[in-house]
Amino acid sequence: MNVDESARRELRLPKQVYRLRILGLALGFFSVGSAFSEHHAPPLAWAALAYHCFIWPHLAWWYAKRSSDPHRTERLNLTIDSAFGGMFIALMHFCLLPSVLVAGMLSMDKVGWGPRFLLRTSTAMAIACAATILLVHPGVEPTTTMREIVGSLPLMTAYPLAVAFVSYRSGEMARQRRKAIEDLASAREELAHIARVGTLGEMAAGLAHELNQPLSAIHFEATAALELREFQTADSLRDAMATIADQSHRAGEIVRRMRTYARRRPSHREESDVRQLVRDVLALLDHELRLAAVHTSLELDEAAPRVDVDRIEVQQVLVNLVRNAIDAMHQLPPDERVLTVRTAHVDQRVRLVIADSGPGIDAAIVDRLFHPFQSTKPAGMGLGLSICQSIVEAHGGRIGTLPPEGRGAVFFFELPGIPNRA
Amino acid sequence: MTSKLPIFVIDDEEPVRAALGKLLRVVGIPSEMFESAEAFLDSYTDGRDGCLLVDLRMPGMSGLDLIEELQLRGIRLPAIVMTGHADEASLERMETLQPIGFLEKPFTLADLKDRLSQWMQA
Repeated sequence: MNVDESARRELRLPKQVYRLRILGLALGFFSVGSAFSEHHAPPLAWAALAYHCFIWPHLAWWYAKRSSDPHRTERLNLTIDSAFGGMFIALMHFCLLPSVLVAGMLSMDKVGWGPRFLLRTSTAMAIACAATILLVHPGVEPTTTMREIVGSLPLMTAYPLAVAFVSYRSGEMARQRRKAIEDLASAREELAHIARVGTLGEMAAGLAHELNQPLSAIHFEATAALELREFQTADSLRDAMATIADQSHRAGEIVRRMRTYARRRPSHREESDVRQLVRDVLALLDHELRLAAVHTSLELDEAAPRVDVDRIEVQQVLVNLVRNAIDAMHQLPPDERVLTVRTAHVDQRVRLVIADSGPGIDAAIVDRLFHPFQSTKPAGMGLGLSICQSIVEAHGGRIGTLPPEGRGAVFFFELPGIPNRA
Repeated sequence: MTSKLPIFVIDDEEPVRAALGKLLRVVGIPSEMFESAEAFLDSYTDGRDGCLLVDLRMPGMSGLDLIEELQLRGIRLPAIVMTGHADEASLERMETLQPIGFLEKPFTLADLKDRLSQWMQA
């Protein structure tokens, strides 16, 4: 292959061969681009490798051979030389491709093509291709080939880097996509749960009626018995009857509170006493507080102005904050679980503070606390606080956190009070 | 409870009706029991005075339907509505029909006596 530079220029490869090479490069880059999709990358990489190693050299060889110009031999040699160089470059690239893909794939859990398998077989194939070309096409001088290889070094460096980047990104994207799919699945479950709860809320009306009927019968019977003269003289019987009467009435109250809270209804505001709202909510959550062994400390501001609110909605905010507080303290020893509910007023604004003695708010999420789908609970949907925020803001108030005095989390919300009509 | 005017108890559920009847009997309030609004209308003779104690939710005519029907017929009977559950629509209707009292089941004897004494004072 003793062709000097001017002759080289003259004996430039035909355009068609260059076009074919560009096509091959395009396919190669396309295969890299398609690494974004974890399903299509491996087959496309294989296709590009096969093209560079087998098809393109053979096409070039075949084209040069059938050419009939006087420099046929030189051109043929140059073509083989170039084909070999190009093939070698392709081999280098595509031997590197699987290895850099491995890096990306190691971060992917689910790729049908095992990284190790891909690496081994592509290496074996590259060696086989090189051996085939060397044996089948004689007259290749390694020195010229080396020049081409050295000339392509910048590309050879850039290419694996690009592939490494792309495969890392694709691994990252695959991970994100998997996480999104998992999140979606859990959101769907949560939504189904909410739908069930919603149905239960609708059923609560009917259930309340159904439960209150037998409770009424029990209550009336017990009350009637208490009024009987026979019972007036028998203390033990009277006590038992009194208990039945009291407890059946209490059961009815529980059903009523639940039904009121779950009722779907248009929002309507009325003048309310914040202290009463707090008491109602603590009564509603009484069993949860007792079950969680939470000690409740209540500090109600007697002078706070009244507020014009939708009672159920404000109760919903309180229920949410109190239940969060209960959840936050479940890992503490029972005697350290303290819930503080405080009302106060500043000018005409009524402030409600709900504080717990739990571990406090994670500094990492404090900024996103009121964003939807932020949850620290394993089964939480992360909508509670964002719903609270929308309720409070709809009332012209604001909600937020305060720095705790000791440990724990402190939430507050403010509602505009009704000016005193003096 | 010195009044001898009867209370007309209308409730579709037998156990509730029986228990309420027993309670009223024991405390000396005269009462008559009906298992439906229709049954009450069938047996009611014009001019009889008394107080209705009627369940809101019943198959067929509801408690509020009955009050409305009586008002249409020009029968002026005071009514106390009792219910295990009142929905928004019923509460709105109640504002126009103006029963003298509304009791959520299970109510106490004291609550009932309270409503009745309001009626008797009026």
